[in-house]
Amino acid sequence: MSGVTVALIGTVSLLLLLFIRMPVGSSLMLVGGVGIYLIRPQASLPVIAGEIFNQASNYSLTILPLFILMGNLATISGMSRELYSAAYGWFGHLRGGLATTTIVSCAGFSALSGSSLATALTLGRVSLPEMQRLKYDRALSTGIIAAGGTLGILIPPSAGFILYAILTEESIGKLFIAGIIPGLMLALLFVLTIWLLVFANPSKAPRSTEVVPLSQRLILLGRAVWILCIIVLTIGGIYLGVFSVIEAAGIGAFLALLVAIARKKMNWANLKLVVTNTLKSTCTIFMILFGAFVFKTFISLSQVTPALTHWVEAQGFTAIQVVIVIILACAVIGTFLTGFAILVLAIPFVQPILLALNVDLIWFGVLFVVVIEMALISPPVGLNVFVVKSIAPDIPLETIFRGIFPFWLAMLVAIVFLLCFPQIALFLPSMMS
Amino acid sequence: MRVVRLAWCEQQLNRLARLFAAMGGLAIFCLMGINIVAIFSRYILNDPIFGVEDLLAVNLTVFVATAIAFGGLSQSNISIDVIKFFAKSALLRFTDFVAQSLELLVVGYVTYSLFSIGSCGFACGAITSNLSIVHTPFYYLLATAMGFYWLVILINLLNNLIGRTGRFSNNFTES
Repeated sequence: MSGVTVALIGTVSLLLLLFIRMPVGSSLMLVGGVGIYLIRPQASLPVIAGEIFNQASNYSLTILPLFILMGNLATISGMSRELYSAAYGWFGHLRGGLATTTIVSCAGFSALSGSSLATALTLGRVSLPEMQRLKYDRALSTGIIAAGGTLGILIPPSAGFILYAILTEESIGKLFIAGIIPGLMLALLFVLTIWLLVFANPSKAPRSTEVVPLSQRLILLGRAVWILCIIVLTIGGIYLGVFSVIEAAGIGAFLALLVAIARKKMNWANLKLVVTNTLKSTCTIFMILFGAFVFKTFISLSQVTPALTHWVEAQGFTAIQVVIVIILACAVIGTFLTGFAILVLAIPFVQPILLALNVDLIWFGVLFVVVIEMALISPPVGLNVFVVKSIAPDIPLETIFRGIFPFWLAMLVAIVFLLCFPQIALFLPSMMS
Repeated sequence: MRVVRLAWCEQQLNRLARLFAAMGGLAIFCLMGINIVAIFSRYILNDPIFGVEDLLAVNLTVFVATAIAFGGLSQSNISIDVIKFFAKSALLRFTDFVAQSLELLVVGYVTYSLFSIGSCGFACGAITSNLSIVHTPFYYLLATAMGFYWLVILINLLNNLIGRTGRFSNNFTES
């Protein structure tokens, strides 16, 4: 049996295993392990053990648990509430103001947390009761939280970028910085979507309160200064080249810990919550990483990617055509696979093709993460939707998905912008120190 | 009788998971602490610490191992739940049995491979680049964590076979 045939059978088997609810990491390890055994039997044992140990002791990956820790500390220290209050002071009085406040808060919290689920859950708990109190449309209010949460993996620090960087051997720092403008652009597109929806049907978002005086707004902003400090020190430090990404993660976690201690939130119960949540998130990502690297080795050994690259080159496709096809395919796959699963499945296949076509992998990484974001809110397996459902159990899933659709379209617009104007993603990395 | 034995096994695994969680807690704060000390030494004292990357790497291994064990028990390994839209509960029970059996196989193989390859250590050049810390104990720790996860899958599989809902705690903050 040729390597290409083995790779093909392996990929189909992988999809089958994922379909029967086998965990993503274990499925990748199984298919990768068996595939390596079939192609090069003696390599199976050392490759599996070696790849797993290499990732578990990968110095660059130190940032993952540290950024997860930072996000968890930020959650328990009540920074999300202050962020929400500050955003509410500035935007709450506008039509659709609470919805705008939620998006702005999600964007701010995303700079502290690399997880879209954590962002949706944390801000959802704060904002949904407020929107329900003011009789916001149920589809709109839940859709906003699910969509706003996705900003967590586009605005740095981002678990999606870290995983992509490790798989493609691109710079994590550059990817983080590349995500800033697209992240802000997407937040702006979400706000525009809210305004359009409310303009078309004002009953969806009743006007909330009178205008908060400027002095009060400044006080509210002042209370959120800690968040700004952490963001400036971590992301600003990376951008200016003052800190490495790993150092920035350590500083961010340490500052978040100091804030939690200063606010007397670091009690035994919260400490256990922070540690266990950090352990769980780390387990999720590392199991996928272990599987991804075993699978990637299998794909390289099978020689399927050179064959695929030659085929693409022989057809005379341009780089942009190939990128559009990949993005469209992943958006479709995203309706039944989770974001990280798409990432680890697709990258080993598409990276060699993209390199052959001279596609900028930083730009493609940003595009890919937006596609992952779409997967997070696409029916039927959009994880963020289930997070929102857990906060609002009385709202049917169909209503939440209906509320998400306009924001899904906004993401599509963001992808079109990124395809037409790659500088949106590449401008800041090109200016990095 | 079988149910009592399974319940006893779950209880012991829950206890062990707490131990892993405690180790993980120490490891993550050590990770942060080493990082901060290294930054202080590099930027304030202008005297970078030699081998700090090695310390962080082995610390990360400890943390990841504890995360695998604890996360395994609290079902943190994500799977894709599309089949529930098509299949009835009897079929789901069967497919879960197949998935768990295969997972048992692969996690068992991974555990064996980590023990087997990790035992070579210094002789195979499996040491860190600066401080020459031998990888063997960290391979063993990872293998132990995988072995723990293997036991969790086994108990889940047995529970599935006898149609019992397991009692693995997935939220230690309440305990």
